[in-house]
Amino acid sequence: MPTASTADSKLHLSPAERIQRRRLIFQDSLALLSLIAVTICIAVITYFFFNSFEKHRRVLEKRWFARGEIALASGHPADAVDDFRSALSFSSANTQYQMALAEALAASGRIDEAYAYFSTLHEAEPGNGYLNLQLARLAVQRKNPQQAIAYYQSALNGLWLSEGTERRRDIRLELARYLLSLDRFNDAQGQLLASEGNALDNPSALFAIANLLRQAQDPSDASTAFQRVERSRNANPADILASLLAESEIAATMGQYKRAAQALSRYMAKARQFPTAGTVVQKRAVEEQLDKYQRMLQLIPFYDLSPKQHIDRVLLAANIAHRRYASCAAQLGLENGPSQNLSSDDAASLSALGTQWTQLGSPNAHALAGNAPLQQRLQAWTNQAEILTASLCGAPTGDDALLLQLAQTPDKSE
Amino acid sequence: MSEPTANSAFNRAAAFIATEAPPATVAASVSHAPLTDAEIQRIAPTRGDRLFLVLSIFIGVLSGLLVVCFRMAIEWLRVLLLGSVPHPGQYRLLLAPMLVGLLLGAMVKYIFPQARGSGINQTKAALYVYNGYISFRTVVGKFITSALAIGSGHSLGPEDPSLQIGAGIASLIGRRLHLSRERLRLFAPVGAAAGLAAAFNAPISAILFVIEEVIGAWSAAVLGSIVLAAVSSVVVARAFWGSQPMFRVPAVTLRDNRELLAYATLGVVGGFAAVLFSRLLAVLRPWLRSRPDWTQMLQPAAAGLLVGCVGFFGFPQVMGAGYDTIDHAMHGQYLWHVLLALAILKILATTVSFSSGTPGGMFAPTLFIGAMLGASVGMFEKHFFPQLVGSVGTYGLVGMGVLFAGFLRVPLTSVFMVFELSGNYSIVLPVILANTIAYLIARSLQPVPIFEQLTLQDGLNLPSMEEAREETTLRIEDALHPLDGQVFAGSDPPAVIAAKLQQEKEDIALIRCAGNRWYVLPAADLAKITQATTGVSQPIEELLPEDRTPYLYPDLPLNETLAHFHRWPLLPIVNRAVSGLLEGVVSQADVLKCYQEHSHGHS
Repeated sequence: MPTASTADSKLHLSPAERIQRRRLIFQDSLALLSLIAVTICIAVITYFFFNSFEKHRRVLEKRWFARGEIALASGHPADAVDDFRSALSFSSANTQYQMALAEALAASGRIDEAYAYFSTLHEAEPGNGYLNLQLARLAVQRKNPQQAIAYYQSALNGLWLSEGTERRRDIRLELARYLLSLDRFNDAQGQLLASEGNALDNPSALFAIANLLRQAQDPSDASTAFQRVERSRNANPADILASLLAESEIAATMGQYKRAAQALSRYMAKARQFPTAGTVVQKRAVEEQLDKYQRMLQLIPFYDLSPKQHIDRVLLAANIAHRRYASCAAQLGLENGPSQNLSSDDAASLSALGTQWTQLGSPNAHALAGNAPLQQRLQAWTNQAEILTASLCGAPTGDDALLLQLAQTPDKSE
Repeated sequence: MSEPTANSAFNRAAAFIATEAPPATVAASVSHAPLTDAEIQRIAPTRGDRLFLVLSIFIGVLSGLLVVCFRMAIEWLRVLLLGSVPHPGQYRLLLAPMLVGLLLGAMVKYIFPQARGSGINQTKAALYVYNGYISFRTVVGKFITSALAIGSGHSLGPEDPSLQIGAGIASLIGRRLHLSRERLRLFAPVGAAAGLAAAFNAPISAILFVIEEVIGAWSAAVLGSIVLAAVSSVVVARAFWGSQPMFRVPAVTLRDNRELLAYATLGVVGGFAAVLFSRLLAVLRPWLRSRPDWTQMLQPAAAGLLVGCVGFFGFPQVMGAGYDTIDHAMHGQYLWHVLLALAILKILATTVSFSSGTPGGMFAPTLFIGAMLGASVGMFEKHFFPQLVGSVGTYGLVGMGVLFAGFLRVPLTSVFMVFELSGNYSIVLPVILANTIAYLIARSLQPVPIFEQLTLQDGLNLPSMEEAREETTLRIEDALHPLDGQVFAGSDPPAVIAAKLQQEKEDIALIRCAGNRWYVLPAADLAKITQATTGVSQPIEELLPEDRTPYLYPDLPLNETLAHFHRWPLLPIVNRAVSGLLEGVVSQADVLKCYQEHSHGHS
């Protein structure tokens, strides 16, 4: 808007036109000022209008989220889905609400929806450990092992804002359990051994790892882990007792009865130390098992015994087995010719066993002394006799049961 | 031109104040009647230009504020009428849109008849028919009725009404400041761009849309003001809503070039969906408008009841503008079949709502349908070809652009809208591919764009921007033909030229003058010159008047020639590269013939 008189003179305006021009400028200025005033008024109204709704929006989003949490906690995930979705419609970028919705979807069994939603969140944060873990769990439910394992691995490598070491260890355990369910024992062992390194100061985690290692058919490492639990200072008494029992079982499975017995002995000592841990029935069962192992240790012809003691034990076992054989043969009526209850093969095996015993020629300590081949033949006969009689005449008891156990794992026995 | 400094402005003001008061007789003789446009132009020739720019900023600010108010009004009404979050089975979903529909029917019939419809065509009509006039009542009516309609759950959007509110505010301000008719007419698109920019929070898309759909051409006169207004309104809107885009867009990635096939599929699906949507509107709207008068008032209520039924029986997402549902879809909250159902239901609900005459826009429903279709296609493809498909959100985003291009027929705006909404240039290939496919499919199956159909249904005949874009411009070369006769030199004597013309039976002589200029001399004028200069062998150039034919080139628009035929019966057309080189000539008859042939070819 030209305002100067110089401009007037340039335009060659008449005096009347000058007045009109000034009046026009005045009117324009007034109009612009009123426009500014109107703008300010509308801005103030808009500000209050906007803020009133924003406050209301915040109230609503919190209310819906709280409702969702209550619904989820009270076991109504379908309602929680609606509530979280409502909360998100007021605050769509809220990560907490997004996660809650995805969890509610998963909890309500809407696996595909939950998977799709988590996938979208994952696209925005591919390195988020939590999202990868949730996707791995959903992939497990969707029966997609390849994807599940990949997501578990991403979760292990992903970002965790707090307690990263513990979370990764727990994920490894979860992954190991999943691998065990797929019978992928070697992979599971790898994960468990890796997580064991992060669990040395956590006996309960170590106990879980040890149990899983045992399921992963890795008794040696499982045993080591159980021993670590036992030695741990801050371990739960129940875990210590359970570890000792497990250690004993593993040792027995490996034929290491001395170690098995030692573990049970330590169990009894710990049980006395922690009277509240373990039931009376459990303790009685452990005592009985300990007695068995100790008797077994008396039967086993250890090579580190003196030759005489070794021969005595071989003979003792052979005599026990022979009595069992004779009793079984009598039970089957073989003394009076072929039995009708027995197949021809079984009868032949039993008969061959009798023949072998005869050929061994009533072995005694004198004959066995210095005759290692004869000792071995006698031990072999003992094992054979216990196995055959167990199959023909039923499960043995007492020393025969112990000899049968030894016979079944002859290579492992100490 | 240098900018006036504050000091010089002060001096000018001081000089103005210090000017002597005019004599009392002069003051008394000054009329108090409003000045005419011509008077204003005489006493303040630069006023219009300066005010235009300043007011553009005011229009932007006011439009931004009003659009924020408008959106807040919609939000409040939605919460009050439908509850904070509508859920299926709530009876208010049936009642609210129906009862509000009854109220709207009465309001549109008796109080705000101009508030009917989306607002785009009304703004175009204001520009082309009413000299930029949009009444204040229309602005108020549009605000109230659209807020009520969208807030109560009618399947319509707030963008088109925002555009009309902006245009209305611009018109009001222009009238208050007694701007010329020409300026008033230009203010409507300025306000429209401001309103749309604030509603979309996307200034470039708004500017492009107004140019592509409302003005139809890049006009230098108005472009600066449109940009100023759009930017001002977006600044105001962002002061309230923040600078983030309208939708949260997930990370955009093109995983593999083969993924373009998936986007091409989306383009095909979107193209057919746009045609379906257009055809439904083209059939239902005129049918409803042809019903008896008394039913017109009830139609919004009936539409509200139908939309309410959709919400009541399981899909409340279809009600209202649906921005939150678009956000949910882009973030993978729905499975592909749910998304597809939402897209189909939205097409039906919007067709019914809009056809019933309920005030409200088509932008948000178009975006909704596009996002649902896009996300649905993305989800489907991700389910069956997981290695090929990236983010589902990207598909939702591209889907919005696809429907925009196919349904609203604004291909350029659709591409830039996706850029602005995503803030990511890497999406350029999928967007261009899918949008082009959708646009071509829609254009071939539904040649008349939706806005043009609506104006024709309303009895208006506004210019079609799409047709204008496609229109071929005739150029001088189309009418050009070689010179039949001879070219004379400026040094030739008149008698020689006259003899030659007589010999050749020509009635016009084309003379090459000095400086590679041309003169066209009719035989009658030559005869006069010859008669006046008998016995003198003077060169013809010295005897001719001083003017010469204009410089005209073959590539210029043909209409450039029309202004010169009153002076020259024939126009020489010269080469741009070689000065004075004659390419051919055109006569008035040639030009008319060319236009007639072109017109005949089109008809």
